[in-house]
Amino acid sequence: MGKYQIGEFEEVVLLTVAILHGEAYGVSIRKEIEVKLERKVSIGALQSCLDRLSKKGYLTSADGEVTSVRGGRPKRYFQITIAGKKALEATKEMRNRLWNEIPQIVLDLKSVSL
Amino acid sequence: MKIQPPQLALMFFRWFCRRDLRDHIEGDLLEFFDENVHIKGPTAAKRIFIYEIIKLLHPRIIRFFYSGLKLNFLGMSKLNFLLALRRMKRNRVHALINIFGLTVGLVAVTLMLLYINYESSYDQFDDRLFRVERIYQTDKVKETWNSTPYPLAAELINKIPEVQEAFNLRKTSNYLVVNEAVFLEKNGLFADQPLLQLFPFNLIKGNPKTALSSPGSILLSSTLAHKLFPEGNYLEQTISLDKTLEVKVTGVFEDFQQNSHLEADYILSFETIGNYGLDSWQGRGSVCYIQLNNSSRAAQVETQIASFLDNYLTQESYYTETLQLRPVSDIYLQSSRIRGGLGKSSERTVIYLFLAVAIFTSLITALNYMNASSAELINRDLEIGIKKVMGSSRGNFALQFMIEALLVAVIGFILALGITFVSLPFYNELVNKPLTLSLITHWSFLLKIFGFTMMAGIIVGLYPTLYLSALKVSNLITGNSTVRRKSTARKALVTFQLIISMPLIFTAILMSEQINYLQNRDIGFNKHNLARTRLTVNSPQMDQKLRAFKEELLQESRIIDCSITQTGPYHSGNSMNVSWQDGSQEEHVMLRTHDVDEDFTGTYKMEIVEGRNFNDDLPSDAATGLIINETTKRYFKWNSAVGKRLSSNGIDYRIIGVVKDFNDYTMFKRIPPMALRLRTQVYDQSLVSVRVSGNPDESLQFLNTVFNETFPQEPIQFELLTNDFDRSYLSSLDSVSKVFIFFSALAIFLAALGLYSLVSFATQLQQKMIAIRKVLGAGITGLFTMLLKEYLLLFLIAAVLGLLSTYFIAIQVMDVMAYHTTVKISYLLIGGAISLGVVLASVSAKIFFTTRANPVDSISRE
Repeated sequence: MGKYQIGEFEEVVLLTVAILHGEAYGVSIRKEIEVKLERKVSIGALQSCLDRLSKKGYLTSADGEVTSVRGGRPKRYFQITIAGKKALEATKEMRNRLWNEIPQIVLDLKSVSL
Repeated sequence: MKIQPPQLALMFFRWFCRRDLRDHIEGDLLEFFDENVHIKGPTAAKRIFIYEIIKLLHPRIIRFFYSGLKLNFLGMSKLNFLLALRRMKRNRVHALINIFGLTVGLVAVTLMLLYINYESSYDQFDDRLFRVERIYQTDKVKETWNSTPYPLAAELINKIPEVQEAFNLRKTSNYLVVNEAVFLEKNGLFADQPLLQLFPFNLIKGNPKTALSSPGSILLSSTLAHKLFPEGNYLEQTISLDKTLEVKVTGVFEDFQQNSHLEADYILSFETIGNYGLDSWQGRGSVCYIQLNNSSRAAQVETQIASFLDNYLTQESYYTETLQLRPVSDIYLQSSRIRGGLGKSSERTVIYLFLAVAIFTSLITALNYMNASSAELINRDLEIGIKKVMGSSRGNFALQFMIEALLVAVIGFILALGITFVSLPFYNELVNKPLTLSLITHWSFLLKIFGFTMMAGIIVGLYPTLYLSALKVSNLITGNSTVRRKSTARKALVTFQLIISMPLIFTAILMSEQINYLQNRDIGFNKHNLARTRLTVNSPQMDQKLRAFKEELLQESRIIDCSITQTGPYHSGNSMNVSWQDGSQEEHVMLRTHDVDEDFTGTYKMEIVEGRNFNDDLPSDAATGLIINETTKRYFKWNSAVGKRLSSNGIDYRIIGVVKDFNDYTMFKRIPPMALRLRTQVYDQSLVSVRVSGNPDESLQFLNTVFNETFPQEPIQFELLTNDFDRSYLSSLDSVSKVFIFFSALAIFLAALGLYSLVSFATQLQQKMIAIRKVLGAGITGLFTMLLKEYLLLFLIAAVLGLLSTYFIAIQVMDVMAYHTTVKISYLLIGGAISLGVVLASVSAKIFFTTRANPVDSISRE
């Protein structure tokens, strides 16, 4: 389990990259997170997270074609690696296991009275 | 038109961003910006753009700042460190001189600063002291006294609402008798109760609210309490004061802080003094301290009380007396011109002198360090050239030179710290101060010293970085670099060093001359072999007995002369107002007086320069006879004083003689106008002065024995005047000047050291030239003078500038002392000669060895 430890934001980014399969670059990832999760993300936070995930080997990246739209700057496309996928699976599995261990009575609770 | 994002922000981003991330993040930023321009408008888009860039300042995104090639920073530092150590090892003498000079300089500066800190810390150890002011009284002849009439304190509280509290102090010295054991204590105070509240007083025993409120109370310092009552249990004990009055111990106080201007071993409640003049506005028997209430300013109160005394002084008082306030914290350093003695005081000039030496020493130290370090660079042009060829950037050089410079600085600082800690106890003994240095309480002070050292280190490291990296590589490698030629700056530094070391030499000579002068100065009487004691004469019978005993005593061969007086030099004194009627004009002066007998001038070996001495058998001498001193004669501008009349309090005095000026108290102050009056009978306090011959200690023993046998009910303890005399002023001045001379010598030594290392590098450059000259047949003497000439010229410039400025400063400084030696031109010459000697010694030693070297050694090396 300890092998694939990723943070919550890292998980979100990894998932988004996976969702945007082939189309994942800075702006699109950001937009996706903002729309789907209704959550503000700064470029700084996102880029440092992407850099971190690449260092860990969960993402690979390649520079795309140069267009005039972005002031002549290339897009950097990210793609999830096998290790990244495994990390996501491990995280999900861990979640499920923990969910399953919650007693039924807790899930049935409507409100907590003390 | 396409809307552009803020360029400055973008440039900033491009500057700090990691190179591998820069392009695509910039693309993202621009894309995002364009989108925002459409959605939110250009202004908001620009704001968001800047905001996003600020948020991009993330450690993962900021690039690694390192100029040029991205080298292994840690590895390079390690290598540079190693290189620096190796260089020190190879150039051992130079490294030692460099570190040694820095260390010695730092130790000296630290010790001096500690002294200065301590001297200016007097009476600042407690917040309460900042609200206390001392009152001074200035009379018509512009003499300022710290003593005021006793009723002033109470009247100020009554009449001036701003004055919250006030109390009086007065010095005293007494015999304290406990169970027949007699202790002569000279350090006592009479004080009013509020002293205990206004001053930071730590009563170990007793009630601080009442300890001094009733007559016959005495407080003892814990040291004195232990001395008087070794078995403990001090409170409520009775002590006999001079065997005449019983006083009760009402408390024990912690010894005064050393940096308090007040000092006392015991404190008596003021009323214990009896009714003796306490209600008189004419006297000046006590020193008054007041505390203002929180809201009032001293300056404002000062104007209110300036002419306060006018309402109380009676018609006969000829003086317009004004009052001033002075904060307690100013007393220690600013009372040297104040008359009347209470509390410790020093000379502010001494502090300034110390500060000047400290600044000079630190300048010399820093210059030395810079000089020596940069001089060494001339041998490194090849190394630097090759490094440049290999691609070293300015940053690389900066790292290397900084590490080298700071290594020396850090070693010097640590050594200096150790030496300072070790030498502090000796230093304390020398300056007679309880200076302390601890890492915990003095951390900010030490941090400043450390900062100073590091600053010097950084400047030392910066110079080669900026200078060498600007040089052309080809010149460096071929050995034609300007490093080898440009010595103007270095020469200027040496000259400057010589200039500032000259005042030090000069002042050191002057100081030792001054001490010599004071020690050997004619003080107007012979202070050697004079034994004195005070004695309380409480009845006419006792007075007769004492005089009869005096005649008996004079039969002894070892007793030369004996005088019974009321007061004497260095043993209190009285004062009287006199006026002289000169036609219609009336002149006044306050005379310091001693009531003496006819043997006084003989016993003290004073000289009567005009007229005659007193005669005990002439009733007219006792009634109206007066002997004045030369100062008084000068004051009235008399050609001949004998026969002139002075009146005081209705008595018409007749001047029968003039005594040569004699010193009455500290030599920092001028001799005041004085007069002697004849008193054939003494009451109350008296002073017995005996001139003895032979071994003074044996005579002292003898006197003590016979006196105590004759007057068993009186406590008597003879002491030699020289002891008191030296303690009073010479010791403090002596130790200060010793320290001063020591540090000056140190600074001069440092300057010589710097000169030596500089010359050694300069001559190294000229080695080849010397060798070729030698091969061509030049003699050693010729070479020697040729090389020396250059330095002598520098010396000459330095000497003229340095000595001239010193001369004028010294004249100013010397004026502070009442008695000083004259600033002679010969001192200038001696100062010049000494520094010339230093220059010659350091320069010629090096040159000598260079000229003696075998020319083959330096020519063959290429």
